Amino acid sequence: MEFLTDPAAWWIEPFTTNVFMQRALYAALLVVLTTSVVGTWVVLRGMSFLGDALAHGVLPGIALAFIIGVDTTIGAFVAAMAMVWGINLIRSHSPLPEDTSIGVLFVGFLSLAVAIMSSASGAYSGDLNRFLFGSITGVNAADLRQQAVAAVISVGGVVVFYRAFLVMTFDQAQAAVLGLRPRFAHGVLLALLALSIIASFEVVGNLLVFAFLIAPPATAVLLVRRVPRIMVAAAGLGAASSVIGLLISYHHDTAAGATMALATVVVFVAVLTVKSAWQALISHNSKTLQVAQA
Amino acid sequence: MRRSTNLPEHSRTGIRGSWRGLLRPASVAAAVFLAASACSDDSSSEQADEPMQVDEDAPTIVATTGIWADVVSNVACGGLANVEALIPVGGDPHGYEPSLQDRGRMEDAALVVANGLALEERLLDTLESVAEAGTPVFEVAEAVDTIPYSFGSGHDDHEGHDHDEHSDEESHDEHDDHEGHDHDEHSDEESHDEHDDHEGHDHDEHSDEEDHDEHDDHEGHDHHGHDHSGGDPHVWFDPHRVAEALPDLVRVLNTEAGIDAAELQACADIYQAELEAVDAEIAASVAQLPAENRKLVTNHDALGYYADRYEVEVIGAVIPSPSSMAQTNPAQLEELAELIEHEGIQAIFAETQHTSDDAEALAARVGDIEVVTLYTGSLGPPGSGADTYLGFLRTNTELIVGALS
Repeated sequence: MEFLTDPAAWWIEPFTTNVFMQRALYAALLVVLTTSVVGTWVVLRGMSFLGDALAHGVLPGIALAFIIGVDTTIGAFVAAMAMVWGINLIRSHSPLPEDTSIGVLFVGFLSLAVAIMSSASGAYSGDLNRFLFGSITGVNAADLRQQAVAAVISVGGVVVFYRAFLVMTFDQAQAAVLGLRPRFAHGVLLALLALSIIASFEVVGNLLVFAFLIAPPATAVLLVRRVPRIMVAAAGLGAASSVIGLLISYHHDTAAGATMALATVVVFVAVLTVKSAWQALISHNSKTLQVAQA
Repeated sequence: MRRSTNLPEHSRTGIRGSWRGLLRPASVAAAVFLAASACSDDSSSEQADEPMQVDEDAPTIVATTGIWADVVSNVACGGLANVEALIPVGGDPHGYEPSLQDRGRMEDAALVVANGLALEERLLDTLESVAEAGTPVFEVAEAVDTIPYSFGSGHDDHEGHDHDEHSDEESHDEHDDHEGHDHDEHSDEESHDEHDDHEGHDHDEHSDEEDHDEHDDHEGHDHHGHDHSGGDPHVWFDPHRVAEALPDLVRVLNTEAGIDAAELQACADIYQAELEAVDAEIAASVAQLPAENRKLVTNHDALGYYADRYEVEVIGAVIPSPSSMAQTNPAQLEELAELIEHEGIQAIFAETQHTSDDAEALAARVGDIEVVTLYTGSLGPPGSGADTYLGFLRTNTELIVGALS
């Protein structure tokens, strides 16, 4: 109850007195901005499964980059692109539906990552933990810069391609007619998706990035209707969830990434519950009104 | 019986360097991308075997870490055994996941030497099933006088028995009376005195140690699984304790692997002298440090035995846990940063087999402080100076003394 009885100590002080909390907060907010604007399109276009697959698909690239000694961001990006290319390849060479080709590569890439990490030297299994669950205490200035760049690119990309994404979401054929190059726009969206995943896994970890990508935009869709508002609401809800998650993690010594991810999902469930109850109430009221009038 | 079943294994071990990386399914896929780097990793990971002249008749001993493999090969010196390390150089013993092949290697071995006290967290089940399948497992930590964790998750052990360190530890745990300056050296010295005369009635491990002294129920694997609660597993940070374990090691190498006791004893005598010499060397170099500088902040809580032996104090760890698999959080890091500032600590000791992200973030918060990487759970690669156990001890001491003077 301290968050009610002594709100300043519970809500504010961790961020003002603890430099690690400050850095965690900046990182979480940058990541939420990136994942919210990109995640909105993932939710609207029904690409959730692809998003989840990509979140794990970057792992083998990270593992290889780690072993070879190149920047893990580059490795992650290459792996994500390889996965997208592979999914398209399977789809065009088989009669299978897209979710099957995604699923096959999803497990393929994830197991490849674990296999690589366990083989070349057992040295990396400790780091597998870090990839999967994040390490928000280890966020440094370079990570923050990278996350800021990712946020700028994502927001910029979504603004520039707004019309293409919008038309494509609701009518593929018309997008082509309008000269919006839907295939190119789709590629851009996938690249932004990969970018947002890569930028965020230091904070929440690879297993939980997906929560940031899906839950805040999904909650926003329940609340507002126009796409720009969904993006703004998603960013706001995501930011609130991560602040609450960080604070709970701080005060109750729980894993930061998991607590933030859980907070986004709890907010979604809470909003859905309230909204359903509200709608039930409204329809009940209007029925009683009709009965009364009759 | 055992030795004859081992024969095919010996001929395989001779070419292990070439096939080990290739036969693991993961590497098959990975090999395409990282042929060069993986090969160099693999050849170095086998270095624990290299000092041995491979003798076709010698039994194979598998040790979990390279450190214990090096110790065992010194006790079975001159090719009395083929000693292999399971965990490659740079691998974290806390996090190493054994492969099926590893399990096969352990089962085919005449003897498995493990650290024990749950150091090899991900190997526990495998070690247990290997022991059940009939391969004796000798846990070195069972043969030495252990200490409880110095802080962190050792909380529960702390209540109720009277360790000299306790006044210190409790102040760390509560982090509220740093101002009181009870981190002075004398409590450490007292723990040392207690340690030297070694009757140690107030350790909670002592019932175990007494078993050891009596040498009756000491068949390696029956120790399994009953002592995960208490002691700090990182016993190799004290060469004096390792020397204490040599008689038991000689005995199991004789009884379980059938190596000639007199030959083993001759090797062990030489190695014991070397260990005592390094022990004296370390004590002398640490003694050069001014008393107020003998304070360590480590990455995870791994240096308890070093601190205990050489009169230094571990005042905190980035990951305040005896396992490197645990995670820290912003509140703990901030407390540690304040403690570091208060104590005027000059260095944070990271470790080779674990990410130093958290240590670096802590250093960035504190400002004027060095991050020095120690060898902790693994030997160093060839040429690092830490590629043998004795070199590991010397290199770490140089790094510690260099950073703190």
